[in-house]
Amino acid sequence: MSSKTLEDIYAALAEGIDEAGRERETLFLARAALLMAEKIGDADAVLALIEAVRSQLEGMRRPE
Amino acid sequence: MRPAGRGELESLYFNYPHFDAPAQREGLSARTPVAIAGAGPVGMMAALVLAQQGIKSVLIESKPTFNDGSRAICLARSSYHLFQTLGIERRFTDKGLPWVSGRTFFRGRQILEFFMADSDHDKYRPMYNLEQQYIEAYLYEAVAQSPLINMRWQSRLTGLRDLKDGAVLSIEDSKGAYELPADWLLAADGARSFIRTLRGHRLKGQNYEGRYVIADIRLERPCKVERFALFDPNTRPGGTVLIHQQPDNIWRIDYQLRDGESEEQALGEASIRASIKQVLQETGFDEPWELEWWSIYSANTLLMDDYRDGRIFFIGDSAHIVPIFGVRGLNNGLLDAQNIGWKLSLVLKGLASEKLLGSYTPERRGATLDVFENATKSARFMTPHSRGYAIMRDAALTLALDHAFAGEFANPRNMTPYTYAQSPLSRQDSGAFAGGPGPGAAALNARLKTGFLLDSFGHCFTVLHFGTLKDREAITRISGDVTFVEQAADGPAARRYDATDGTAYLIRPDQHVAARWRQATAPQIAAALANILQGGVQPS
Repeated sequence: MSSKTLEDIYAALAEGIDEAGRERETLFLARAALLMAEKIGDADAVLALIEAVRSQLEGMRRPE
Repeated sequence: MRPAGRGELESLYFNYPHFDAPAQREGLSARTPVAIAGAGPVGMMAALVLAQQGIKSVLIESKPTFNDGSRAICLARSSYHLFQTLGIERRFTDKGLPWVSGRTFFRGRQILEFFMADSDHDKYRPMYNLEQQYIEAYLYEAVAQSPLINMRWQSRLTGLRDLKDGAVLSIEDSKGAYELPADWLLAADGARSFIRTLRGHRLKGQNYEGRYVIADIRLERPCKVERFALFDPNTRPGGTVLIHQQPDNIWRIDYQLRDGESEEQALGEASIRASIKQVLQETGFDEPWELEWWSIYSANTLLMDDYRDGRIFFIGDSAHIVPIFGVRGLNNGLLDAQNIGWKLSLVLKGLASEKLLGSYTPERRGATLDVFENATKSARFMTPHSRGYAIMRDAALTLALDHAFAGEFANPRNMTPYTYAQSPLSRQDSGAFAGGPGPGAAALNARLKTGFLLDSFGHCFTVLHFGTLKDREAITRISGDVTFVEQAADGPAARRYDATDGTAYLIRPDQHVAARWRQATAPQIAAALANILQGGVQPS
């Protein structure tokens, strides 16, 4: 069994964003999302996750 | 548009005929059962379908000849079947270039090769490339030969008024003006339909921002016929380029304009030549070439709320404008013409209730909406209209280099026949079938010992039955124009239709399935046929 944890994924995404740089970080995340979605293979579940993230974005603005 | 020094009709490969306004002035105002405005492919197809059913029509066209450029170049398998039902397929098979596959490139690397559905049971290939002038010329050959079609060139519709049971067209040509009364009017007068404007109707929907230049060049390069799509090519960063081969060594190159690139600038001859040169260089085409013709289009999804206004039916681009992705504009326009053609014929012959015509809008508008759904997916991939769609498109394309699933986003979702599942003419089946074409679906072809199954279907209704069918008179009493096609219950057609001994399909004149029964009796089939002729109002 893999000894890797969510912590490792967290770090890999962070480093990926850093490596991609500002110009390509969005593309990097979009590619990661699409690839993971395909691997999960459950469109309803993935859409529910995306919707959950979308609906929470509004509350995440820094107060003025 | 054409290069400097060449007239609008000076083509490198096509000799435009010139047609005069009617010389014989007597009888121009004689009432006609059907008037058709616009002799493009859709208008001519409508006249041919009506003529095949024995119905006279007057076809008017304001121009003196065929379309000035090649415009629509892809004919789908469904259109070839339609040509076959009219007995005019030979010209199209001789000239059209068949193709089954295409390749997609992203930044110069091939990321996808797609194949359209094609099997040993198909008589025609999924797609053929043929310049629109040839399509029109071949249809016109048949129009000119038909004693039932009265074709009037250089005849302009200037006005229209309603009759209780028809419409009166005001027509002008170089020799004068006259009125033409008609029982029915088919508006095949194109995207900028005069009739639609006159009647105060509007096309509704969306304009996409993507604008494409379409250009034809002559270049001799013998190679396999396939479609090339280039995403984000080095020559047009961020843009998309499509390449199709046509007969007579003509190549269609479509390329997307950049945001902010002015149309006026892009459509200048120097700019067209420079862009084509770059595309050819990137594609590795190093043969000499000549510029033939070019134009521009944008990817729109627009349609009318109702394709009928009293005694007027809108067919083709006058009723709906679709993006080219998926090649559905011309092919669906031809199917509009066929759909209203057989229905109107049965009504005019007194064999069907006028209620049958009520199924035209739901069936063909449904087909248009289905086109929109597919074309919208293609369009938002080909010409992303927002940053979000552009990023996801790039994500998919870059993944496609190593992950096959991501390449499928670039599949062009080409034209496939629409199923009239919700049509009042489709009899819902009991679910006894595990396969075969369902109610409303296009009939499937099957390779038989000699020829193909669809070759044996009739011009009007067809009863396809597996094993013997008793008491056929029950059916012929309802309509004399029924063709019976018997197939063995253990033959190749039976497998395609999930049929056993006693199974039957009732096929409409447009070769769509109206109804089917696992175990059929002639009275059941007769009742379903009678229901269609009454407009499909009663559930059966």
